[in-house]
This record gives sequence, structure tokens and C-alpha cells, in this order.
Amino acid sequence: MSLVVDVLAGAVRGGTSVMYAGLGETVSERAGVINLGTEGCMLVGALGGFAAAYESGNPWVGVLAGAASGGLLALVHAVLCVSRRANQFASGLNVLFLGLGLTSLFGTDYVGKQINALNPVPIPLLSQIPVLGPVLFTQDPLTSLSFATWQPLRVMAGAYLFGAALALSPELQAGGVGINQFALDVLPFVLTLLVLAFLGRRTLLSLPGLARPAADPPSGRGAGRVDYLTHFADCQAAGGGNRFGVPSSVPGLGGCGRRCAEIGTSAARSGPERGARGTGGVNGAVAAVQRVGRRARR
Amino acid sequence: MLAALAVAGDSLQLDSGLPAATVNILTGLILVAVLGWTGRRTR
Repeated sequence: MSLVVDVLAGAVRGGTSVMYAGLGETVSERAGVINLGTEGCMLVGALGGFAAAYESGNPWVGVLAGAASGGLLALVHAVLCVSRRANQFASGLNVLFLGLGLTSLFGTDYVGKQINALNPVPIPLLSQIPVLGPVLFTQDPLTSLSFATWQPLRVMAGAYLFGAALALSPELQAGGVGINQFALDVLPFVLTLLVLAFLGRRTLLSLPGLARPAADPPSGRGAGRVDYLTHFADCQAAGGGNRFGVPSSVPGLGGCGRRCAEIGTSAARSGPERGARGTGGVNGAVAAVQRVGRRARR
Repeated sequence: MLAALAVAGDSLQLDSGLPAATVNILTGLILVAVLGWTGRRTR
């Protein structure tokens, strides 16, 4: 029982950093910009946060510095893609290279150093619940904040799956289970990829081009949905779709611009088949980003 | 171009004894310049 609680608590603790990055990437992709350099931004944010926390002695200064430094590198990607209309994949890989290089060069000074971590804040009463208390309600403020207003259920599930696999490794080693270290290292990645492949297979089969054609003509209650699914298929065939099925609002991707972005926004509000279910605040952020993008293009 | 930069960076690293991180940064900066230079202005 203790092993289960430790692994689950480690999943929430270790998955929160992945979850925040995944949430930002979700908002970015739903707005039509793919950032393959998220890992580079995470690395630079981690180095900036660690360095600031180490120099100042205050972990909250590190939180702010980490967010700022990661956002600064993402700004390079934003300027290249939105302002210069560069290729998003090339720009994302470029950001990844920059992040790897910068952290490898400047991070050596901080190897082996220790900082003050954020202290866990037990939530009164709720932290006394067996199993759930130590797993969910005895975490640091940033982890608790992730439960507050956002409901990105799929992002959270993926991040916590990765975190659970990460937390399982030291627990197995402490328990004396003889598993190859390399297998333990690759376990989080393999497990997450297997789950993504399984879920992606279902999503692939539900794509408009592969799904069974509708028997009835587009009229009545479902007409709008048929229309925008057809429109999505056209956009994706033109190279304008991203992996969430939302057509691009960025002309550089080959999307059809304003009308497509508006359809994507309305679909984000009403389309559970697109994976919008349970992403509450994300849809508002996507709509806001798309509005800003449209205003900038006028 | 990415492959050319990687090969050139590896040669530079071996010849000059630069750390691998420097090559990564140089590759990134060159790509930023190229992508920014060849891109179009939105306005």
C-alpha cells in the first residue's frame, strides 16, 4: 500500500512540470502554432529557475525566472513563425537545439548544487483522507494550482502517467527488484508512447476522410457539424490541420485563414469528438489567441 | 541544410576542440538567422 501511495504521489509531483508544458503546447497547437521545441523551452526554464533560486535563495524567484526564461526562448519561435512566417517545424527544432546547447554550456556551473524546494502545503481536512490525502492534497502550491481552475484532463492524465513511470523506478530499486537500469530509464517514454499510439489509432479512425460517409444530406440538427467536418478534411488535405484536428489560423501553414479559425473556435466549444471535452479554460485561451492573431493580420 | 550544419559543426568541434554545446548554439543561431532572413513580413 505504501508503494502505491509513493508512486501515485510521485506521479503527481513529477508530472506537474510536464503537465504545465503540455498545457502550454496544447493551447499553442489548438491556436495553430506547433512548437516542437517545447523540450528546449523546458530545459532553459529549468536552468533559469534553478540558477535564480540558487543565487537568491528564494524558490519563488526561481519560479518566476523559470517561466520568464522559458517564455523568452518560446518568443524566438513566436517571432519566427508569426512575424516572419517561417516553417514551424524547422523553427521548433531550432529552438530545441538552442535549448540543448544553452543549458549544456551554462548549466555545468550548477551541477551538484542544491536549492530550497517549494514546501508542501497540506490542505486542511482533505490531506487527512487515506491514500488521496498524501497523493493529491499534500503537494506544493504549484501542483495544487493545477487542480484549481483548469480542467485539462487529457493533458493531466498523460503527464501523470509519465510521472508515475518516473516515480516507479526508484521505488523498484529501493525494493530490491532486479530490473535493468536502461529498461527503467526508457519505461516512462515507452509507456507514454504506447498509450498515445493506442489512443491515436482511435483518433485516426475517426478522421473525416477515413470515417464512414454520412448517409443523409447535411440538413437539420447535425448539418453544421457535417459542414465543418468536411471543411476540416479540406483544410487538412491542404496541409492546414494540426494533430488536434483544428485547422490552422496561421496563413503560413496553408490554412484558410479567418473563416477556418472561427469554425475552429466554435468547434472547440462544442466538439467532444475533437478532444475538446474537459478542457474548459483552454478553449477560452485558444479563442483569445485566435482573436489576437486575426487582429494582427488585419 | 540541417545536415550540412550538423556535419560542419562536428568538424568544427573535432578540429577546434569546442564543446558540443557550442556547436548546438551556433547551429541554432545560424538557423534563426536563416529562418528570419528568408521569411516574409506579415505587414
